[in-house]
Amino acid sequence: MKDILLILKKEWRSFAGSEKGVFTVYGILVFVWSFLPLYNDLAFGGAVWWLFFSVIVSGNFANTVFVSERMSGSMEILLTSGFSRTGVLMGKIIFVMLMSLVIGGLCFGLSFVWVALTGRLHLYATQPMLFGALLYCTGTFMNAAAGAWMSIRLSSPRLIPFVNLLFVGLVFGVYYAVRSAVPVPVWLLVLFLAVAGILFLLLAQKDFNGEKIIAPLDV
Amino acid sequence: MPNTVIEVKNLFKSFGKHLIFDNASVTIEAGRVFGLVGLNGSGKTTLIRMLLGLLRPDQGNVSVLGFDPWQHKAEYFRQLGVILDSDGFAGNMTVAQNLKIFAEAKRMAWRQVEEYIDEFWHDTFIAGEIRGGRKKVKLLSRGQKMQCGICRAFLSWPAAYFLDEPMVALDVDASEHFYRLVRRAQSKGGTIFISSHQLQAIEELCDAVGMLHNRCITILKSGAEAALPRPWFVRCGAEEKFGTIIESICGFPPGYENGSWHFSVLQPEATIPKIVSGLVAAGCGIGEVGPETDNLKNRMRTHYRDAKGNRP
Repeated sequence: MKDILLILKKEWRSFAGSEKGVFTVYGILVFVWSFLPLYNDLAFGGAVWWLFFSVIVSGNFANTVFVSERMSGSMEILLTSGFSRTGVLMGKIIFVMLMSLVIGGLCFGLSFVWVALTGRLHLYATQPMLFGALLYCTGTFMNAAAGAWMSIRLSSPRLIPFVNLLFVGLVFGVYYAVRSAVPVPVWLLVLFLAVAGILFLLLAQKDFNGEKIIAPLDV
Repeated sequence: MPNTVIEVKNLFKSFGKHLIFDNASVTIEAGRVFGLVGLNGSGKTTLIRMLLGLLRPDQGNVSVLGFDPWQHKAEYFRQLGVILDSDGFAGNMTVAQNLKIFAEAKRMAWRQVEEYIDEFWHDTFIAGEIRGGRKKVKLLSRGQKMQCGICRAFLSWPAAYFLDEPMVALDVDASEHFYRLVRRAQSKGGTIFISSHQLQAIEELCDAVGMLHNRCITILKSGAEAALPRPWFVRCGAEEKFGTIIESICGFPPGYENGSWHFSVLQPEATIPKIVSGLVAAGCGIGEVGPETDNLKNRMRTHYRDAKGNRP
């Protein structure tokens, strides 16, 4: 647990020490995506857009904490400095999730302001809003875990956001295949994402304990 | 602490079809400063990575401080000081922030870090950075980053050190400081494993030296020097028959370079007179006979020549 907190602290300080331009880009991203509820009524289609948002945000943070560390070679130092490997992996995944959730939360909050200003506040009292948030959270978990795994598996790991997009598409594909055969509730999609996230987490942990963690990368 | 700190036994390792280690073995006792030398691509970094549990041996045993590195026990890594190719610091953080994280990983209190800095780094830029410096690591020079890496490696005076090219980019002062740290670590019972191409530094620092060649580890300097072959030379003509005579007497294939035959002998007092007699009997006009300057560079050259069997 202590190692997870240490890695979280390290990642946070490293992020907080970024250049101002990084924060500007995130600010613009949050601002632009916060208008989404105005044009998608937070029904199922709108919620799916939040899921794609989680792909972008968590994919980007996965690039920062996993890929950059591997490319610079500092992952080797991290793994031989007294941290447990599980602590390093979980600390980084949790950081990706937390940052994605914070940015998603800011986006949701800002969109709440826009909806209130345009007199559509009643939309936020509905179940789809909760569903969208839930989809965003589980999507973030899946994307963070998949990002950790892909950072080891891909020789060009900067492609993580695109691969995550593929995984999201696959989960959707499975969900719609099941739905076309038998009537299933919409929350099953959340379950699929969570199960996929756990699967990716196990795969990431296996590879984190193997030789591939220091395999050469295409820069 | 076990007397044997590092033990590599019958090690095999390959990447695909490329065999890196073929039944390699080496044992390093507690308190030794062991230098590892070898040509580029001979496997120095691969060996260090196996000792650090980053790579897994295909066959054979690797043991450090009684641990199997591949088990990845955090307790094992807390007893190590490591310098690798990357400095390992987060560029967006200050030196103090970075060192604090690594110190906490080793379960050290910040007060202990400050004492260590005050005692051993007080006359370097690191002391200033620790005392309120705001400079991010990414703004430091390469040599300064290496000094920070050395500072981290010796933090807590661990039991074993794995230092891969630790003196790259160090200036004269920083190199001398590194020497002092190694001596201090040794005096505290630490076992230090250094891999480097800087032969002079290896020669000065290490009381045992191994060379990676032909996928094995050959001991060039062990403390029991009498048992090792010594390099000699005979200045004379380059005829093939002279080389054959030398080889038949000393048992090692000689090489011809700069007007002299260079070769290794195990017992020079008995062997050299026989070689001289044999050459004279074959009509060789000898200009000079003598031992080569005995430094690590010549030992490496001799070893490679013996292995290749160079002829003019």
